[in-house]
Amino acid sequence: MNESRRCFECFGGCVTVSVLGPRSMRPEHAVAAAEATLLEAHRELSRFLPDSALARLNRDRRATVPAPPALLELAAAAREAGRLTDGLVDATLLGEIEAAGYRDSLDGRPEPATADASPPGVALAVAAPSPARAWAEISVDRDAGTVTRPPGVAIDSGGIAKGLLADRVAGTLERFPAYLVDCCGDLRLGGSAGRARPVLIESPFGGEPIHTLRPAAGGVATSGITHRRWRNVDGSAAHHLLDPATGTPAFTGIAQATAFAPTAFLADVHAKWALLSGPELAPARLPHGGVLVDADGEVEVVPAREPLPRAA
Amino acid sequence: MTPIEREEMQRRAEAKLAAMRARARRLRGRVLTGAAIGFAVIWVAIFTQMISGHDPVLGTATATVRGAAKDGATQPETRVAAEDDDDGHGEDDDDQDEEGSWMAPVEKVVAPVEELIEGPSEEAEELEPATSGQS
Repeated sequence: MNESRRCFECFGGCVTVSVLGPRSMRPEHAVAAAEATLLEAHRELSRFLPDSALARLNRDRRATVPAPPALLELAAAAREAGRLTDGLVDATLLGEIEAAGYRDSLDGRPEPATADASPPGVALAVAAPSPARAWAEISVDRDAGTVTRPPGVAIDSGGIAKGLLADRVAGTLERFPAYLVDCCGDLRLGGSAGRARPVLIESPFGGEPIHTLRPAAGGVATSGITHRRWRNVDGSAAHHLLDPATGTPAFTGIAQATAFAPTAFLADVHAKWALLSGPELAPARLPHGGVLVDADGEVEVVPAREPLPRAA
Repeated sequence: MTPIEREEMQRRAEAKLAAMRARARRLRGRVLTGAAIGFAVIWVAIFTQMISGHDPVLGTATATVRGAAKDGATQPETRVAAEDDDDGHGEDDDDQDEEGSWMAPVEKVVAPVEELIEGPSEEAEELEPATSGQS
């Protein structure tokens, strides 16, 4: 068996694609194809690239806009994420995110002095859906290749694109004995051999990993408020996970949530859903299991209540 | 026939002979080239089929023998099991294996195609760990 692995810059971080298989199956070709697919998707779906298909869609004042396949999938996923979580995971808060201070990529931005998931003077509160429910107005026509949404509603790829694209690439790698697609911490893994792979869960406060999962297949995603964060001009702490009801950074009492799910997209959605739901409801948002870390650093391992669906 | 005519006839005959020989050389070359190309094509086709794991001789059998099989048996080999011949016809005692009964069946050993091509697979090692952090 040969392992072919590539690490490359994408989605504002480091993406790793690893494929294990006999030489006759040419794993190195599959890895190269996966890298090309992800880089192309990044060029199409990054909101930080002014010429990306997503940026052009968000600037377009028409209600119905032609879109390439990757953007169609993202738009459909944005609607699905809202539907699954009753609007708590809302991918139409781009304006609010930029207003909160996240206009440019956070690469290289200086970190706040302390990793504080519960800033002083900030009341902890469970997030709530936006009454506008703009995500419900998104529709996709795959035959016509168009996205329809109210003009002015902008889609944000930051919360769901990495998991979605990890799943897309994984579809081309299932025939290999084992594979891993790591899109900056959103993982999709599996393979025909059904071998388990250790997945280390990072601590939100640095240091040693807090837990190890050993799935044979599925998606693992971690959402948290201690990494992508900054200080506003007025000195207030801010991060990228917003409360849809208020449009401001959510401080729910949970610093980090990790979800395991059949796909990386679902793991992404469940992780954010758990974090935004607060400590009381978070375990219920992790039906296939996961790990929660509260603002005080307490770790809770949530066991799975539902088995993963068998592959068709 | 004048000497000149005789010389002319001889020259023509030699030219005809040379042409016949040249033609024979060309035909021989074409036959050899065609045979070499045909051999190469067949060889590549069979090699490609084998390297992709589709060896028709092995079929779908992938059983391997682990450990020694029988008392007095030699090390397992890749060969078809010997059939018992109870009626004794045609047997020759001089052919008996010195280590034991040559009637003892040898298990059919068929290694996976990939092992034949790339060597025996090692015990499955743990996969390299992945890390999930805030994305």
